Amino acid sequence: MTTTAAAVAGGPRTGVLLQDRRFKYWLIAPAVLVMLLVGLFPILYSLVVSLQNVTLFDQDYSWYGFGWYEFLFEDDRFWESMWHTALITVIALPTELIIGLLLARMFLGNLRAKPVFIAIILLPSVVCPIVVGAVWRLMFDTRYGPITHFLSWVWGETIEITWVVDPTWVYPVILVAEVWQWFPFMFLILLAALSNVDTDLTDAAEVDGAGFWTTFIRISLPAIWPVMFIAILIRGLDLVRIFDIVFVVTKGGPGTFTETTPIYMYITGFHQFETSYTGAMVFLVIVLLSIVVVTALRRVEISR
Amino acid sequence: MTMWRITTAAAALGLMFGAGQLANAETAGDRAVAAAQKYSGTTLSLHSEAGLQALGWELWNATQWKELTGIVVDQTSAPVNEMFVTTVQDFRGPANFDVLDVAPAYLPDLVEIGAVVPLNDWMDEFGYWDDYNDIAGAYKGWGEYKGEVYGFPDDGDVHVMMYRKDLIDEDADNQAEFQEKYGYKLAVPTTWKEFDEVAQFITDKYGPDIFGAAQPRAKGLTLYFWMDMFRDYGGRFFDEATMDCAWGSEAGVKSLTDFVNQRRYMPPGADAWGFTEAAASMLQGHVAMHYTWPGVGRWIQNVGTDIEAMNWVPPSHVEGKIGYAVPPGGTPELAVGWIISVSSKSDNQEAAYLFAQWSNSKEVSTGKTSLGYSIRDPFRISHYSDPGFRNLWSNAGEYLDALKTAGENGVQDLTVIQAQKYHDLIDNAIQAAIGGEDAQSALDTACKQANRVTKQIGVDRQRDVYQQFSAQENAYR
Amino acid sequence: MGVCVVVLVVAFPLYWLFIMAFKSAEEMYSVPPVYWPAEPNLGNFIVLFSGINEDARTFLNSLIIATSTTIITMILGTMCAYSMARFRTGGHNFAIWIMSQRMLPAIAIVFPLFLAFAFLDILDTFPAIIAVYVAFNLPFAIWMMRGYIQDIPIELEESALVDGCTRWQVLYKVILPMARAGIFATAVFTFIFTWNEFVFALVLSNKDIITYPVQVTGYFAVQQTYWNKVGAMSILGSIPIFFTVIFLQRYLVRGISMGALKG
Repeated sequence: MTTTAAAVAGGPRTGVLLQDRRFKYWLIAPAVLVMLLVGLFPILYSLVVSLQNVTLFDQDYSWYGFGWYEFLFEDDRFWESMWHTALITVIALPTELIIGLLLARMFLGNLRAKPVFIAIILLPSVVCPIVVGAVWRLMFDTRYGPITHFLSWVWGETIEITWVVDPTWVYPVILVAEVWQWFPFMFLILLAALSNVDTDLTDAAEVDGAGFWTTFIRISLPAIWPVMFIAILIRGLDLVRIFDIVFVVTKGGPGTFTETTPIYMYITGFHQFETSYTGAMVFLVIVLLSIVVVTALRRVEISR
Repeated sequence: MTMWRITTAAAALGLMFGAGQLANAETAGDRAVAAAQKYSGTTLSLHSEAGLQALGWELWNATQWKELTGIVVDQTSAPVNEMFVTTVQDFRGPANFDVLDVAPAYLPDLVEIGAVVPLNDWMDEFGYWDDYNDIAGAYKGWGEYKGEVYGFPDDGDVHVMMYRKDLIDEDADNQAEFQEKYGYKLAVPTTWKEFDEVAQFITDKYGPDIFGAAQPRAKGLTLYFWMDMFRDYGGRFFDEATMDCAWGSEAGVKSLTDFVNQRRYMPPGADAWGFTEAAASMLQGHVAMHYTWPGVGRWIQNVGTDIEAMNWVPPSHVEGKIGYAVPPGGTPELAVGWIISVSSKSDNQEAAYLFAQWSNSKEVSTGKTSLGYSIRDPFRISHYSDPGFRNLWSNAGEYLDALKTAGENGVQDLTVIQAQKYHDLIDNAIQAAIGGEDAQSALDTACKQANRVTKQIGVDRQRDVYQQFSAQENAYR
Repeated sequence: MGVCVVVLVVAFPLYWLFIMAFKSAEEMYSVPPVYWPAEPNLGNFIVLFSGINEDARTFLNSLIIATSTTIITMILGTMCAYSMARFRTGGHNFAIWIMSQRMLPAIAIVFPLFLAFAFLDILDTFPAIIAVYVAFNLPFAIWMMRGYIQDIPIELEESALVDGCTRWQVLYKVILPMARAGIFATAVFTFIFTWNEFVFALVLSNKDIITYPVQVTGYFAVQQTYWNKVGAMSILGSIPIFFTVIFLQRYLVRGISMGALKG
């Protein structure tokens, strides 16, 4: 058959494509259907309901206008929660990246019992985030937890910091728990990527006299950039949605000091049943996130 | 298996109480059982707080009810912070629940959205007024809203003080030293100032082995320990004329500042402690005073804690050394509490009501509130004088007396429309102050948001409900 | 050895979680903390499987949900990824749209879903929650699988076509075996994400399909905290995945490496 002959000869693939338009759409249909049904509906619902007046009491589905958005813009607590979320994301992401990167570099060489070490290091990402939060909360308990005990021993005097309430320490504690849980994920992805960097290139560079760091920065990093970007994107998006760990370690406390946007959404939506208000919040957050994500993705996709 | 032992014990106790009554006239519980016979074979769905509350329902009420009437009681439960949420979700959604445990502070909301039904007619029909009036005055109003009864108070939550008699009352050295230092007799404190001084004294002398006091100060619970202090200092929640939030008043700022400063004699890290950690420190003998929900008062005597479901409670090292009293300030918080209500969307409303009547009746509730593992607490006039209960341990009588007095002088949680929002705001303000923020500024921020909430709800509407609350005896004392 | 330090730091909290399940209440609240329980208390594990509580059943629920989700996601996702890899279906925009599905916080999405499911009367049912999990795991699966498939030389498919295979057979006979490592890696991650997921499970379940994370959180109640139950359940809940990871980490690394390069 002509088309296959053309294909085998390495010629234009268009023939193959045209012949199978139906096929390619059939392939994506089920996935798209599910994602649309489940993913699109809540967004539309949030938009629609945010323009109505549905609260705990009033199930008023008539047009209410942009009142809730006004309320939202004046809500200090909401904007503070955005700031908290951004703070955590901006600190945790690079930290996880750098630790993952350095560790991956360390594991490139020959290590004894490497599989065992890798397996252990991967474990934190595997435990339920809620439980991770609980364990760190316990570990940081001033009286009953081992960390204070150990630090007091090192320091020589009893340390009386209430880690999970003191504003100075509350963010570090959350960040420690978060980074501990997710740097293995970065580590794994980067390790795989680094393993594939052509050693000829790095060897050549070393022969030419380039130091460890120069080789690393100039050759390895650019080589793994596509992968790193994906990892950063995935982790970044997950961080913006952070809920479990913060909720268990501090419940957003003290007060609302560590309250992230997902936690605030949880409170307005689930504790207070402000359906319309939460809808407005959700929609706004989605719009903001979309702008950021789509811009970033476009840059990368197009540069391929 | 322990489960079996518990069930038999529960059944035996039930029969004991029941048999005792059969010998006398027919009780409200009996009437409920008789009337429920025609629903035999049906299933009721009960929604309660996860953990020990649910356990109590399951082992004490559900098993006996099934035996007596053939009605199966199916349970769902949720953590206490989500009880309100899940109740409303069910009402707006699948509408499965028949019997509800409701926290009194949220009753106005549930009535306003139409989720619960008034019980007066059934109370007439099945003769429940006697038992209802036996409920201690402190708790009776919990289930009432705008003149109708929507639920039966079933759990006498009030804060009660536990203290180490051996360190305070009975230690001659301490008595002498304290008298010399502070100028009055060392005894369980009755005012906040005395609380500070007694606690400081203990911490100074015995720390870091024993501290003066430990309290739950973690998010979600602190508000129950500040709201009564606030009122003791003369604070009021709202300006009744304008419904402006009044938490930032002088009383509010002073009480919050004092509350935050209580940490100076508490064990390090107490600021992060929840109910269990604080209770644990008392049970293990690390602190001299602790006021909290009544259940701990039974556990501290190692009563009822030897079953599997209670194995997370550390054993008490101070059994027999404890005295009970009304917490400082004299007007303890009637914190949380539960009433049994009937869902308006239930298909089995009458059966649900009968279950509520039976569970809440004198005999059945006496049995339940004296169980160690059940964290239902005494709430009936008859509970306080019940001989079985009073002899449960050496100074159980003192415990019951303290509970009775505490109840009579207790103050109710702020109960208004969307109470949950205001509670959250108060809680956040306290936490912010604990975290180091200036008390005035924390309360002012909270008030600013509270006023937005009031405006959203409608000032007049809220004033209506608030006035109903503030007219109660137990709103401000 | 820097690596040893790292491993220690990583492992210590896991150790702490592990012994939590074995400590008695007294040891949980002891000052100073107890690093090695005096009498390992197996009671907690036994309680989990007996009598009144439904902890054991929640594991089963989690297993059903996670497995079904993984299988369906992998099938749908691989199909979609193949289409995108070979035919560039939808171009850049489609790929971006898919990835953007992953950024929605579960909290934001779950309430409308709750209402919809309540309306359709499918709350607290397996198919409903599995559909939700599939939708939210598809972006990850599609992106990963697209990369793996792009790694496979197209000549193999072409020769299969020459041999007379239908398009579907090509998928089945050529792609699946070649992308095995990638499929495996993606499936494992999908399984893990679903197994540990909390928010959707909390809201969309009532009593029939309560999963393990929801059950564990139930033990952090306000008036009582069953730390050792939490510990015991966490250990049991993590065991299947622990062992999978340990024994198969080599495949995981290889799988990721092949797919990650192309993203």
